[in-house]
Amino acid sequence: MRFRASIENVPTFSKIMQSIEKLSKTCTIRLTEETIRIICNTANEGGVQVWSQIRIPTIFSEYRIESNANNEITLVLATEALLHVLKSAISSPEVMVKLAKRNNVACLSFDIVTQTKQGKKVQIAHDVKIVIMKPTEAELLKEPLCPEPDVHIVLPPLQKLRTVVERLRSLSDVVGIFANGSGQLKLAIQTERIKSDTLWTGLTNPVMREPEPAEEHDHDPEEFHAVLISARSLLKFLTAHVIANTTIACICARHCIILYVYIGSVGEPGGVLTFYLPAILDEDED
Amino acid sequence: MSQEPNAISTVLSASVHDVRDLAAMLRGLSFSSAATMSIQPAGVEVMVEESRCLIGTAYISAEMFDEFQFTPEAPSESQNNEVNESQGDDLVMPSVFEIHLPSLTESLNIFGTAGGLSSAQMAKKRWSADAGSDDEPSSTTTRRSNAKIVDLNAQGRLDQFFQPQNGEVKKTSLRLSYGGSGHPLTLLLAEDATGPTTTCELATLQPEIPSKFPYNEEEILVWIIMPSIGLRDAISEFDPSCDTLTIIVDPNATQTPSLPALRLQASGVFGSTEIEYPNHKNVLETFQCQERVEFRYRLNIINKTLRALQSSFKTSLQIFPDGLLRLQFMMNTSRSKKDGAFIEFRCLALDDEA
Repeated sequence: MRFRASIENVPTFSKIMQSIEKLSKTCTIRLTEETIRIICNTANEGGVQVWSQIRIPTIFSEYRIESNANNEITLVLATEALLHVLKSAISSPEVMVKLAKRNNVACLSFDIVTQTKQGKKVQIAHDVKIVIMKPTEAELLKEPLCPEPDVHIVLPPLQKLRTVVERLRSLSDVVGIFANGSGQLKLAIQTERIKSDTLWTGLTNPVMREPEPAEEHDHDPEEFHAVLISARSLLKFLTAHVIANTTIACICARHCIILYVYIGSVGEPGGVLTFYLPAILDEDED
Repeated sequence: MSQEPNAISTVLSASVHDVRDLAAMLRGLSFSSAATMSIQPAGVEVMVEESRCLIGTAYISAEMFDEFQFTPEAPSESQNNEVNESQGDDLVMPSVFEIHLPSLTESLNIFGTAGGLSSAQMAKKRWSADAGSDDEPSSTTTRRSNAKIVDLNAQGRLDQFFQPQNGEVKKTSLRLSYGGSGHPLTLLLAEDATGPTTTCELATLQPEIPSKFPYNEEEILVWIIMPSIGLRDAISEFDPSCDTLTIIVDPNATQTPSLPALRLQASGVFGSTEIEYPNHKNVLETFQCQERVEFRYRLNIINKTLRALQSSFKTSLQIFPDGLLRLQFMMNTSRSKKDGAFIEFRCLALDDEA
């Protein structure tokens, strides 16, 4: 089992880890010949899951991988540890990573070459402990099953959403996300003390796939589809504003909301981070 | 904005293009979660109470709004039996209700542009109900000094320039309406024509019977007017372990320049701190006091007034018999200072037996 690469794009890698770090303490990284998948699916509070797929050239160069399992390696590590290393490497021109064993413990070994103010070269080494996952276990990793979404909508800039959700979180634990086929998005809360909704209009409803002819008549574009989400989980997701270029939200009413965060343009994405936020089920649904 | 179709039945319809000033006024009272709002022809009064010994009232005049239309409700039976304290020619019943103040202040700041801390700073700070936490950066490091202290960041003036990277200073505009007793207080907020709009309905409750701390103008013992900076830097000097504030005002200082006219002494288990103000024109603008006066107050109560003090440019301090302390903070508003927007606090003194 061998893996070695040069990290070309530390800022992007760092921002991806930053988007994930608040949501999960550990993450699973699956390296293949073409892609790196970063998966957070441990049972954490809120049941939020992150599944991402990033093309190797987006982050790495001089990439070499070898294993008995179809040249794929799956490993588990602490999110914060990896983020910490990437942050310290953010301004270095040369960062190498490889699979290594130190004292019989598997780890990802990072070699960072950086310069002091005087111009002298300094080499820093970081070892992040990892646990290698057996191929049979790795095969069991599956994205959560979701029903067909009721509506797809391109979200306004996540930074803007974050400001509003920060305020809403101090007023309510639960936020309702409503979207319709006419480019409207609503974030709403309802408590004994306050009812509030914030409405965005003029957003785009992307066509994710060719619609069946029968469907077109059923759906009223003005009808809102909603899902109730934990305000804290939503706010943690919104940390992804650091990397998000375009974000598409797909609402499966009463089930979950799936958020596709595109790195780079939607047409030629360098990668996609997929966030699954489960719905909070309300007994007295209106 | 055009009138709503049911404007006739609306008790209050008001709007303002920038909520910053309104938000600043309400922030001065943010140590309390419940507030009583009184809507009158002259404007809105927001009153909070703390531990039955402090009353804070923000006077938000109708002039602070771009539009302010108040249609009094028909008085209910119980209201008819009360004596109305309004100064109008006719007996105009104000509309009074209780509201959850944090819900109101958070709503005003929904787009993060209601002033105060920038949204980035807000993200790092916990919402602190204790006004003792000094959360507005002060650029002054001078301590006790009689010299004129220039605070470049007073009232967040400098903060206005450190807004989001897009370079524009965004404003949140507000339309406020109230349908009368039993109706919620409705806020309609927007940042600009293209952006999102927020509609909030805040539950209104029957107001509690307010405490009153009456005073007689003619019985005034002390009246001092001073720039707020002098008081603000002093009070933030006090060690948090101190529990009592003693205010000593001495008219003999006018004859003896070396004697301080005003002394603030904070004392606690670990010791005491004393701040002295001589009767110089640039320290105390106005000083009226016949006899030496000394009263003690709970420092944690006085600290509740810090937030309002920090947003004000001038303070009027009055003491009445029995030590009733009346502080009036003239607030800096983005319109002219002639608006006379101010927050008033009345604080009971500690009994000597305590």
